[in-house]
Parts: sequence; structure tokens; C-alpha cells
Amino acid sequence: MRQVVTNKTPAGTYRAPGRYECTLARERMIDIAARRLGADPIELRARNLVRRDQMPWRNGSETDGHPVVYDSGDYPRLLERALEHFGYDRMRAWRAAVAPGPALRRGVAVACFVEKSGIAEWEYARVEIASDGRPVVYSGSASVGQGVDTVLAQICAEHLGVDYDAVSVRHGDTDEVPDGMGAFGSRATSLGGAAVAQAAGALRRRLLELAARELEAAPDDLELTRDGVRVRGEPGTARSYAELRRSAAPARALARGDRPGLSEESWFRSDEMSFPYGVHCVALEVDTETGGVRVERYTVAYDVGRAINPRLVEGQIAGGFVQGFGGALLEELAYDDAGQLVAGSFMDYLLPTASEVPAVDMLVTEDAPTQRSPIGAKGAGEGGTTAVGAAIAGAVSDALGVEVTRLPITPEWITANASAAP
Amino acid sequence: MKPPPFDYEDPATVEEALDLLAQRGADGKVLAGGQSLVPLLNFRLTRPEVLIDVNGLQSLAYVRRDRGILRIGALTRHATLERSPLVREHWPLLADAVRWVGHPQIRNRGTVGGSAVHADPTAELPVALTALDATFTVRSRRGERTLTCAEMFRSALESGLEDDELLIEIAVPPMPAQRGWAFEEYARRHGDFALGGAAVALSFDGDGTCRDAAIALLGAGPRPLRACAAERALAGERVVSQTAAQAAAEAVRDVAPTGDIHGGSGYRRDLIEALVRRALLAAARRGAT
Repeated sequence: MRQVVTNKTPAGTYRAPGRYECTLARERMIDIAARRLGADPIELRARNLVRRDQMPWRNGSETDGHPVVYDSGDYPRLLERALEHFGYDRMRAWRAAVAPGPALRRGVAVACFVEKSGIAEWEYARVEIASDGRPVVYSGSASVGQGVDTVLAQICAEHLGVDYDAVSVRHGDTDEVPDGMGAFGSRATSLGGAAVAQAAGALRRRLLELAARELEAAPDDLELTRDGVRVRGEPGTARSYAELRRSAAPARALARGDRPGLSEESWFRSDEMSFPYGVHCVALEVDTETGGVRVERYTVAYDVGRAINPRLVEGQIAGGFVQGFGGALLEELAYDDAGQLVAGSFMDYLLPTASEVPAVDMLVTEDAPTQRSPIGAKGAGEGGTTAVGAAIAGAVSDALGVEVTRLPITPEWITANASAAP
Repeated sequence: MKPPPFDYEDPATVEEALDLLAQRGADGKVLAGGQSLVPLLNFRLTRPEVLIDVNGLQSLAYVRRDRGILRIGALTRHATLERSPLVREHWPLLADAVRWVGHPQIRNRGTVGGSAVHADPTAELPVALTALDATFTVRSRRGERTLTCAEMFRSALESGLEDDELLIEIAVPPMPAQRGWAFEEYARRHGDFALGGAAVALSFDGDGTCRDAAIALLGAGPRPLRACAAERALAGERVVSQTAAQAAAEAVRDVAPTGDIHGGSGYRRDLIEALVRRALLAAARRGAT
């Protein structure tokens, strides 16, 4: 064994950690193989995709001590839908057309990937009816700007059977929520949402039991509405949530031998992750004299099993894409020969800004809900990032006829390799 | 970071400013738009004892034409230049160049005079002003004098001003009626310091040949450079692909840009060559219409 001491920045996790890098290596190898075989790169991918009828698919590796088993997916279908959405044939025609300058070359590429979601096994949620009759979700997940409060309110509303806008969500305060794992690894919705679904479901059953006793009706004859629980078909026979909450107060509940309060909690646990999957397609133009790259069209297709809130999934994809775009073309921890970091501020460590980031066309699909969560949703946080490097590297390679094998692709690399191109 | 401690003066008149510069100019810095100075202060790359804030000198904020000459007060904001119909109509090269400066927020605050005195060789306005043969009026208690571009842009971040001098006005001679112009640059991100660029102004004779060419290079050396040999070679020629390519090659023959992690010297040289060629052809297209 050889050991090396380094004073370089230690490796850490970054959005889609490991998958961004290995997707680059794998998808580049497939493109290169296709070129050497004289095969169509799409056809080569399509032939080798795991089919729906092969699910669940054990891929042979392990993570956190568990074998990796892909839970669900229809990869060929998503590839087909992505290409259609992207307009693959149209973009191939665009590539073949004459570019508006002699130094410009065009490239098109596609990259496929399987993501993972729901790491760290468990998450906590509690759903209560507050004294004013309003449902409140307490979650161990946290909002990092992804909009998880909205998603958890939606899940609570669905499983409790009330309106979404009646639900409030509390998180981030350990005085209020003692347990929780947090928001990372595409887990807040897939695990945190599952815990909310379970707690909300349990609270619904409690409400129906309590109201059934109060209204002298069978629980099956009751329904939850915006205002309270009522007998189906008899709007006048009802109890408001505030009334039910008072009825569950300790004095009254204990007097009839019942459990006080209207609060249910859940620690949702899953040994196995779920596996969302996606396809990135890009058409771009390379300026062989400046080394600039201009994206003509970029499509992200992502199957998240179930999109609780499609707009927020799109927001995740957009933000994730920006990060992946930076990794593809701009961001680099550059060192000099003495090991000195020379990209030590944001003047030299280049993050993409609104001026550089192209529009991203998105296709969010729900072809393959996961059985590993009661809500069917897989995590959506990383798929916008995962294949950006692979897709852009593929398209730059296609444009130049020179294989890109490292990121970021710099202007200097492009100009140097464009002059070497045939 | 926060800036190191400094004294602050805000003179109300040019006379007061000149008094302050005479007393404390050697240890002080003039603060105009602050778009370069304030980051330098915050990075603690500069530690002046006193900042002399000239933002109160509104008499130095103007853009006007005087007997064909464009006169730009030193305190004129980039955005004023950018939006001036006068500049757009008669000095379009300047109007094109200023749009490359930073971002709208920076152009709202940054001043033309500040950009000139900062003398950054990758800044757009010094390069455009160099192509246009601008002159600079500077004043001190000792009197007034006028500097050419070569005198003004001495080296990287080094202007021709003495410690007690204040830039008052930039004068730009008229562009010819039969003209073509173009400003080209490339940066990895919009608003970053450009990796290279070129400002070109051409005048044409009636038969469409180039009478005079002005080619100024951005980022080619420690200051904006005029490509004199290339300019001479174009005189009397038609500016077409071949002549433009030859002139561009000539323009970078002796330049050796400083490389960094965003692009090595050779890359930058090739980039500037390509941008000169593109600028010449774009200018020629404009001249033909």
C-alpha cells in the first residue's frame, strides 16, 4: 500500500455525488463504442437498457451494506418519450444544416442514467389537529428551498382528506420536532412524505372513530370535509375539527377510557432506496475559435414515480441543471504545480449565472411509482444534475470529432482540439 | 471581507477636490463609481489612507458634442453613455463597447472616468477609446494638461495621472462619415474580465477601399495596444476575408498576453487574432451599407 499526503481540498459530496462522474464515464464509453462499431448511439443504448419486465433488477453492486435492486422503471419508454420531446430527428437535421459562421460546429448527444433516492433509512413525522381545529404537520425533513413544506402539506391533505391550504407545516425546530434526518440525498419527499402519509392516515382513522362515537354513526358512513367530519348525505350531522379536538381533551377522553389528544406520529423506515431514472438530450454549437459553447436545446426527462407537485419537480430539475452545467463547462478547483489552489474565490471559481444558463425543456413522468414508499414518489433532487456533464461532453465530442474525457470543457481545450480535428 | 480603515472626504467642488489631492493624493484614492475600487478595498488589495469621494462633483457628469468632438465628463456613468442617442449616432463603437462592461447594475454606478483611470487592460472602454484616439484632460493645483491614450494607459492598473491630478474630461474626435466599426470580446461568463477582444474603426474611400484603420487590442498586453502595422497594411485595401485574416495575424504577431487558469497565453493570442478578424469583417460589412 502506498499512502500520499496531500493538502488539496478533500473530496466531498456534491449534488448527484458519484453519479455525475460515473455517468460521464459510462455514457462517453457508450458513445465511443458506438462510433467504433459504426452503430447509432441511441440504438446501442436502447438495446442495452434493462426492460420493464426485468424489474426489480439487481445490478450487482451494494451500497450501505444492502444490495442495489432497482425497484421499478420503464427505461425504453422514457428514452423514447425523451427523444420525442427533444425533437431528436429535428435536432439531427439542425446539426446537419450550415451553421451561421465558419468557426461554428454543431453536436447532438443523449445521456441516460439511473439515480437513487431516499438514503438514510428513516424519517419522522407527526400530524396533529391544533386547538383551533387546523391540521399541523411536524416533520423531521427540512426546507432547503426545494419547497418540501408545500409537498408535505399536499401529502397530509391527501391522506387526511382535507384541503391543502388548511394544513400548516412546521420543521427545523428541535423543540417542536425532536427526531429527524433532514433534507439530502433526494429523501425529503420520498421518506419524509411517506412518514407524513402514514401519520396523516392514522390521524384520519382517529378522527373517524371519534366522530363516529359522537355522531352515533358507523365510521364508514362518515366523510372529512373542509369544516369537519359529517355523515355522508346528511350535512347537518357533523362535528367541526375544533369540536373533535375539544372532545379529545384529556378530561373528556380519559373519562371515557380513551387516549387524549389528536396527534399521530410515524417513523417511516425503508431498508431499500428507490431509483428514479432519466434522460438528458442536448444540441449545441461550439465556436472553435473562442472555445465558447452555446446550447441550442436541452431536454431533461425524469421519471420520479409520482410527482406530488410537478412544478416543484421542475424547479428541482432547473436548479440541478445549473449545477451540472457549471460542472460541465465552468467550475473547477484548479491548482498550480505547487499544489496551491488558484481558484480560491468566486472570481476564479466560475459559477454559472443567468447569462450563461440556457433554457431547459423538461418532461416529468410518472411511469414507474415505487412500491417502497406508500406514496409511490421517488426523490427528485438530483436528476437535473446527473447527466449534464455526460450530455454536454457527448455533444461537444460530436461537434468536434474529438472525444471529451474530462470536465470541465474549457475554451482552451476546445480551441486546441478543434485545430487537431479532421 | 471589509475594507481596512480609511479617512473619508467628499468635496463639493472640483477646487476642493484638487486641494485635497494636493494635500493627501499620495496616500489617497479617488472614489467615483467604486465598481473596481470597492472590491479591491474589500479584498484588502489596496489600503489608501483616505478616499476622496467625487460623486458630489455633478459638474463632471455630462456627455455633449462640441464642434464635432465628443466631450465626456469624467463622472459620467457607463449607463449614461450606453443610453446616449448622441453617442449611438456619432460614436457607435463607444456605444457598442460600453454594453460589454459588467452588468447593468455595474454600468449604472461605474463611471467612464473611473474606468479610464483604473487602466485595466481587459476593460472595454480604454480599448475603445484607444481605437478612437481619445484624449484626457487632467487637472491639479499645478495646472491642466492633456494626455493621449498612450500617455494615459501606461501599464496594467497604472494610469498617467500624478498623485495630485484629477481626470476632468475625455475628448473623442469625430468618427468619419464613411465608417465601419465593431467591438468583439470573449469571456467565459458574461461580465467577467474578457479573455481577449478587439475594437476596430475603419474609414472608407468612395471606391470602398479602406482609407484608415484603427485596431485596438483588449487583453493583449499590460495596456490597450494599437496594432499599427496591421492598420497600415489595410490602408488602400478592400477589407475581405483574406486581408482581414492577414491583418489579424499581423496584429498579434508581437503580442504575448498573460495567461492564467482561464486561458493560457497562446490561447489568448489566437483568440485575439480571431476576434480582430471578426471585428474587421463586421466593420467592413457595416461600412458597405
